Amino acid sequence: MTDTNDTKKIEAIDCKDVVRRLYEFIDNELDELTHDQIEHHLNDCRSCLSRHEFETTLKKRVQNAGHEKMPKKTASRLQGLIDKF
Amino acid sequence: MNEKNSSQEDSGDFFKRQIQGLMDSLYGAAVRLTRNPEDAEDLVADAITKAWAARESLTDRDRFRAWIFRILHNTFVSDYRKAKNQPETETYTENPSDEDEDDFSLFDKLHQPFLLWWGNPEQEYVNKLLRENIVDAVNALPDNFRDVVIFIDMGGFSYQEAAEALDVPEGTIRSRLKRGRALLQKELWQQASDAGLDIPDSER
Repeated sequence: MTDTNDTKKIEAIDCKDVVRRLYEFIDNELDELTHDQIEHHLNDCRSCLSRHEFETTLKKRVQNAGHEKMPKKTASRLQGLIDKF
Repeated sequence: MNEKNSSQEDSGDFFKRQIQGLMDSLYGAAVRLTRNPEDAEDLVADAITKAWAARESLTDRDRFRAWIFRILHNTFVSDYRKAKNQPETETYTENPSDEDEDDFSLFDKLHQPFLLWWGNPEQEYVNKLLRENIVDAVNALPDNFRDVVIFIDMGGFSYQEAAEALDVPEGTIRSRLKRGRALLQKELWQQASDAGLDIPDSER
C-alpha cells in the first residue's frame, strides 16, 4: 500500500509500522508527525483501516465495561463520609 | 470537624469539589481492582479518608486525579491485594523472551480465511461480545497488566497520568499496556473458542 514515488510530502510508512504503532495512535500518544503519517496511511489502506476500526471499537467496549453503577447504599455511605470531612 | 481556618478551608473545599466528580470512576476502578463490590466500597472509603488526611501533600492541583488514584491503588496493593490473599497472579514475569505474547491479535485471528464466510467477522465478533466477557477477561489478567488496562483502557488515563498513578516509569506503562492488551485479546479469543466459535483444533 505504500506509494514510494508519489507520497513524499508526508513520508510514507508501511503497514508493519502502522500496526506496530496503532495503539499509540488510538491512544493519542504519538508525536504529531507520526500521528499524521498514520492517519495518511489509513486513508489509503483498507486493511489497516479495518484493523483500526476494530481496535477502536474494542477499546470503547472495554472502556464501557469499566463503568460500574454505584449501589445507592454505597453512594450514601461514601457521601456521608465526605460530609464529615 | 469543620475547621473554618481560611487556608485549610481552601484546600478542603478544593478536595471536596474534585472528589465529587470522581466518585463514580474511583468506584469503578475499585470494583475492577478488588473484583468485588463490598471490598470496592471499603477500598474507596479507606482511600478517600487517607487522601483527605494527606490533602496538603498535593502540590499540583492539576494532578488531583492521578494523585487520588495513586492513593487508591497504593491502598489496594497494601491492604487488599496482599492482605486478602487474592489469587496470586503476580508471578507472571515481564520476561523479554515472552515478546511473542505482545503480538497476539484478535483481529488477525478473526481474519483467518476459514472464518471469512461470516462476512465481516471482526465486526460480528465485537457485536456479540458481552460486557461480562470483557470483565472476565480483564479479571484473568496478571496484576501488573490488569492495573494498566484498568487505568488506561477503562479509566481513560493518559500514559503519563497512569505512570503517576501507578508509580512506574512511562516506558513501563507502554510495555505493560502492550502486553496487557495482547493478553486481554488472547483471553477473549480463548473465551470465544470455548463458547464454540467454529475453529479447527489446529488453530487454537
